[in-house]
Amino acid sequence: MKPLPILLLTTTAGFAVAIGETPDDGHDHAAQTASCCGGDSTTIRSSYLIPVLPEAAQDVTGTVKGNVLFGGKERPKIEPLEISAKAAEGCTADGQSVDDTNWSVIIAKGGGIKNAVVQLDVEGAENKELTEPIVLDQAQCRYDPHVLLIPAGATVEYLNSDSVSHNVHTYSLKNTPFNRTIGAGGKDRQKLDKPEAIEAKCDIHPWMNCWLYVTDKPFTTTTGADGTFTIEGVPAGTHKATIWHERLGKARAEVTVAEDGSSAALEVKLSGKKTSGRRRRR
Amino acid sequence: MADRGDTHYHTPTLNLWFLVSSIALLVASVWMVLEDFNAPWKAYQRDFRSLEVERAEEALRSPELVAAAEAEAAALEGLALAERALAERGDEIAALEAELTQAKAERFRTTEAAKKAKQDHNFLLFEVQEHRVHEHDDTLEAEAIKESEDRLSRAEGEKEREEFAVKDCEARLAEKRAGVQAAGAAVKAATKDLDIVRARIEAVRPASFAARAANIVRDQIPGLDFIGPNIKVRKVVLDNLTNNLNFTTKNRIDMCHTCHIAIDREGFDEGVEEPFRSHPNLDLYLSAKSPHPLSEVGCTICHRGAGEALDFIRVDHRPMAADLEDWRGEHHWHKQHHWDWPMLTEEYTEAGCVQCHTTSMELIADDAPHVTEGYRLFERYGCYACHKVEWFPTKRRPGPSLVGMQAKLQPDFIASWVADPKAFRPTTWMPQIFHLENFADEEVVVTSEWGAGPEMRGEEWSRTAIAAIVAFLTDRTEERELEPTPVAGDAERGREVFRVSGCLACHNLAPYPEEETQTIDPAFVPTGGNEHGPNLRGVATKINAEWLFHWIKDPHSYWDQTRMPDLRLSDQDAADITSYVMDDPDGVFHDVPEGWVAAEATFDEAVLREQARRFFSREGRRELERRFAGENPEFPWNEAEELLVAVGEKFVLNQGCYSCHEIPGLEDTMPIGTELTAWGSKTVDKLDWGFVPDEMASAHGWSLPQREEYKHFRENWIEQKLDEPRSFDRHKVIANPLDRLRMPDFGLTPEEVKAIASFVVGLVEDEVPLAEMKPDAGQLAMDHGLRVVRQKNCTACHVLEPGTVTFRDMEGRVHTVEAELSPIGEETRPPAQVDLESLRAEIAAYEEEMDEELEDIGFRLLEVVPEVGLAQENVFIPVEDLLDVTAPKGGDFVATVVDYYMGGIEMFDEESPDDPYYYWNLGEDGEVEDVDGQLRAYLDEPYDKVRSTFAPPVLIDEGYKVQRNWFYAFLLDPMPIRRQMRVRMPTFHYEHGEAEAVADYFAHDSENRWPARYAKALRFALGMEAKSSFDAEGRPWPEFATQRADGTGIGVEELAARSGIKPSEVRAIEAGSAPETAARFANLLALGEAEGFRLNGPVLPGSDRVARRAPTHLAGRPDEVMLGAMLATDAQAVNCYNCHWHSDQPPGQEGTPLAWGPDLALTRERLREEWTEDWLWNPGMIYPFTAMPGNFTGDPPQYQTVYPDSSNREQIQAVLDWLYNYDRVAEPASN
Repeated sequence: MKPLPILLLTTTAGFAVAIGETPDDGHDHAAQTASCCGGDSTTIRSSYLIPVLPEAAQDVTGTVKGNVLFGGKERPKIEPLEISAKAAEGCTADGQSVDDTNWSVIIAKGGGIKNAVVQLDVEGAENKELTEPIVLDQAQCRYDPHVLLIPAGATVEYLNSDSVSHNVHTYSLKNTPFNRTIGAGGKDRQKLDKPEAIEAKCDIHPWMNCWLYVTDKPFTTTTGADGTFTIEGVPAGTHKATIWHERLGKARAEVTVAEDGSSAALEVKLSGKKTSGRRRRR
Repeated sequence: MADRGDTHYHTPTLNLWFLVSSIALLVASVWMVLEDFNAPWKAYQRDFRSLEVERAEEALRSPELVAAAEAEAAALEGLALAERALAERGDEIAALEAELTQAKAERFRTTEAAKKAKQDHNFLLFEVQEHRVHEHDDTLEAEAIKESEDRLSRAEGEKEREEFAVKDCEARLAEKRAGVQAAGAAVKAATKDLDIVRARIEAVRPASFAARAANIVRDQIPGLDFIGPNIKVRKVVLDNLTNNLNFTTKNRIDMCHTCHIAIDREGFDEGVEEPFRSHPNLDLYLSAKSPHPLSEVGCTICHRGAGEALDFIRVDHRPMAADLEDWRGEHHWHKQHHWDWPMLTEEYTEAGCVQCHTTSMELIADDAPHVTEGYRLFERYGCYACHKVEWFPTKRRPGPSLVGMQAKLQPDFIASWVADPKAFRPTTWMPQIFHLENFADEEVVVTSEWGAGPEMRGEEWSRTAIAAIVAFLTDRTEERELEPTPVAGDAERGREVFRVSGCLACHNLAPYPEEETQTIDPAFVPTGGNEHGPNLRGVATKINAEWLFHWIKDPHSYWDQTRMPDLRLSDQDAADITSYVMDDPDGVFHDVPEGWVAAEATFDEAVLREQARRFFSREGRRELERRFAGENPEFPWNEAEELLVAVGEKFVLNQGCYSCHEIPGLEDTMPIGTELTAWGSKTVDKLDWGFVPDEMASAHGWSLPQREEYKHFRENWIEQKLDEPRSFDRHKVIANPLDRLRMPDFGLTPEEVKAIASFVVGLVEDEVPLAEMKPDAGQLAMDHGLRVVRQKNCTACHVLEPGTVTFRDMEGRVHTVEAELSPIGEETRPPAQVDLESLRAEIAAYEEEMDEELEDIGFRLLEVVPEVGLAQENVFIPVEDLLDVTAPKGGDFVATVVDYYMGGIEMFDEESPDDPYYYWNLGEDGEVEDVDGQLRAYLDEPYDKVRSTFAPPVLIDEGYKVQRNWFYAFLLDPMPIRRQMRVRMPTFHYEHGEAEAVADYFAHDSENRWPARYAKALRFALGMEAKSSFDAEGRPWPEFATQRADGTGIGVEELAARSGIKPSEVRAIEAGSAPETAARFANLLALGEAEGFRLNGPVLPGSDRVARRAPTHLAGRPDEVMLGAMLATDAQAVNCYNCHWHSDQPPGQEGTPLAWGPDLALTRERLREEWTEDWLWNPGMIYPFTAMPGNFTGDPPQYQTVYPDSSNREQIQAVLDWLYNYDRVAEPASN
């Protein structure tokens, strides 16, 4: 097996961040930390997945593109976060207020859903093992990015760069739940072994939440603001795709990368979580 | 001898007679000897001896003993080697031995010489002193003494030298022989277990010829087998237990184990036929370490039967119904007619528990489920109210008070209810009293006016009686004016209040049996917990709205003994519930069974007069006719109302209504039922069997003996009585209808009949001295507490015992662990944890929906499990390795609450037939009203978070957590602890001692749990590595676990070896088994101490106190308290105030109650300090779903700016100092 030389992962519409193979120079490349600017930042890494393919699978690779659209009748009402001044005390420098943008459901005008996770199940593909922990920062009382793709087996370092305490509380059902206070300027870490979408919350600042998407499938990415995604270097063949969104539910699809490396664009619609076929009174 | 003719007898004849009688005697003797030799019990014992050898040989082939034999062979080889080595050095040994002999001889000589020198010296001393006294000169002959002393010390010196020489010589010899000795010890150690088995074989089948011959003489030769036999009658004489033989009592003697020879021995289960099987559950019964050792308890005290007989029939064995025919054929079984105490069949065996366990019926529930169920039903149906049982602990009237019934009930309801309670509410506990078979509707009950008047039939008789009772009750009870409801109710809001405040914890709304269910709302599913109170379907047709409002607000003012607690609802909440029930937007509370109508009581005047004639016959016929004619102004019975009331009172007295219901004026009237205190000791001839046996005989085609046999067993009678209470009246001619049987019909299921019957059969008068039972204060408290817990239905809301999961791990070990199932596959909520079968069904449903096989199933540990993980860790195993699942005890209501918060109430909309189901929440977008009046939605919150925030708390090991005295006070006067909850901890009405008992129960329960907790944590800690930064001061738990780096503990075998006890004993201690705990726990404690392991606890119920950090502690280190305050309240540190209430101040984290914590000011009085310390270390290990984070887990320790150079432990101590002096220290700067 040999790591792919280069892989493009799209994090936002039209802007691709190049992530090369981590040079073995002892520096902490994987652990670049996010520092600011909310969920729309273009400088924050939202994925730490680096695919490793068996030699045989590398002959023909293609790029899978597509978009995730909202397919429901009525768009969910998304209100700005409720942030009381008292609870937010100390979160930001004087005079500034905490960003109250609600990142849980972001649907573009054209119907594209941001922050959906598209995962391809490519046989034999593995994640490159990380040597350094992934740092999740708690800055100005928000987590950034909102959805973070993590290879199974990686260690996450929860950093608190605020001057108030936070607690990181994960409600994991497969990994061991984590719930510890991280004092101002402190940090703590946890190894995440089992694939699972984990919601991390702060009980002290109840508006703070993000999703740690732990996966053992390296060909996984998140959608950009217009709902599009690009996954490069996908070996030829038919692969199962799983599309997940924290609020709008799941979908399944299939993509085929032909022998010439081409593939049809994938369009998936998410219409909201099912309630076992029953309706809610409006 | 010839006949000489001079005797009166004829000698040849006499000789002939002598010959004949001699032969007869000889034959008889031989017969006797053979018969004795062939006694069945001897045959059993002979068979058993061969079985024993077989088993022992089998044991020798077991892997352990094969290994032991190999070890033995190796050890023997070692011994031989050592001996050979010794033999090779024979010359040295011989020389040494010679030297030793020589040295011993020298020692003897010198010892004797020393003795002689001592004697001489003493003699000289005496002489010289005497001389000196005579001469008054103390200096005389000093030289002689000096010389003598020198001689003596020389002699003793020689003796010592020779003694040393002997010892030295012996030591050198021993050194040379040490190899052999060690090898010998190794052989002994290797053969320890083997020897036991070999000795067993040797005893039965000795190797030596002489021993074999002796055994043959002892056991195999008729007539000689009385000389020291191996085969002999075995018996226990029970000093404290007696047998009542009608006119005398004598000690019980049980010989059952003469044939049931392995009854108290382990290992005779599989493949062993009776009578050689081991008793089930030897830990509990018969073995020496059990609470019922054979030597003290015997057999017949529980099983009955004739313990002194040695014959299958005379023992009065008893087949199960299914085996009856086999037994008749095989054993010629029949009832032993001359014994009043036939053995109990297997299904009745538990009846034997009752006589001793009157003060521990609740504690034996797991081991004797059948009879405790009977006991509980006896209480639930209120049997004790009519039938006195002296020791029965509950005295409360089981039915509601009728004192204020006029305000409660709609007028027409009462008569229809009394006529047939189950027609209105199929699940009611109220029995049917009228219209039963001995007053069958169509049959003639009586020919009126002493045979001169018309015939009267059952229907009119019963109907008139009911009208009379209603008239009497209406006349006797008060008319109360209830104040109108102070606020207008809102039915929609009431629907929510009804659901979230707790009504559905005890009540359900299950549809009538024949009705189709329209929804799968949990409120419609009876769960046990929600069957505590009545099913409320149809209740709006029964009661008045004003009454309902006042009843909800304060149930005890209406009926002081009601089990319905006070939920301390506001007027608005109560009014809303009232409106929800009475206006009934969902059509539930007006839903009555099909065909049921409340109708006014009607009566027949002629029948009424006839009933008066029967009840008042003492007044005389003429007087009665005067009254009927209105000629007695005191009794104007010409007016129907007057007569109804008079007859009604007699009926109430006659039927004993007052035993169950409080009725003014009849509070102290004696109950009408037979006392049952010793019913099980009544001989069967004292029971009125009526014509039932004849009916049975003709129905089943029994022979006359079989019919008689039926009458020999009191169980038959009680079962029949419970099943068809009036059947013993059948075919009888009873002139006076008032003499007929009056036992009402409870409509019991066959299982209920058996359960109650086995309890009643167990009510015997055998006196079991209290000394035999030895219930200590703890056990009494536990029993009482558990009873109150059951009667108050605590388990409807609270989980008292966690559920378990049994699985096989990758090494093939089987674990049963306290755990909660995780959601299956991609679900977000866990499946219902009921049993393996229902879980399999859920897995199958999931697989079908997802169209893929589920590989792994997970669960979250709720306790520390060595070799698996710590509490709160998720474990995933292959589905096929899951072996069993058990449900948690209690907490049914949790699902109802969480369902509502996370999904709403499932409703049915008739108007949209295509899509009739929808979910309803008070808010349009699924919001629920919070305690602050705000509407908030929780639909997308994590399940665990919603559950731990809004559902009633789990109470596992609660006695370790809360202080007993605080808990007691809390029960009497509950206060909100978790203020976000809308479910109310009710204010119960406690009888004297009940609240104490509940508090004591939890304290004792936690005390009993501690050893198992200790053993598991110890085993975990011994095989665990902590992070490098851990300052290795031993292994204090849970600090050590919090800093875990690696390892999940050591195995049972290793812990056993290190503590010097058996693996089975370690397992028993970990399972919380009492005898092992008492006997072997000290070894674990010693090991733990040696290893530096520490675990807080145990709870000492007797000396639990209101905890407060000692004032001296405070005085000495005031800084510490302030440090604690700073740590706890600083926004850069722990920031407790952000989530916790504190001295009635709300948490700083406004906006959502999801993470609110209890008021910190309560800590000092409420929580045990040891628990709080554990909690601060690692909250998730105590409640895996808590919102409370681990605050002192930093590695390196955090908060150094607030408390410089502090360790986690010091920080926790500082915070404890602060918390336990919270009321004394100045309020720290609030955040």
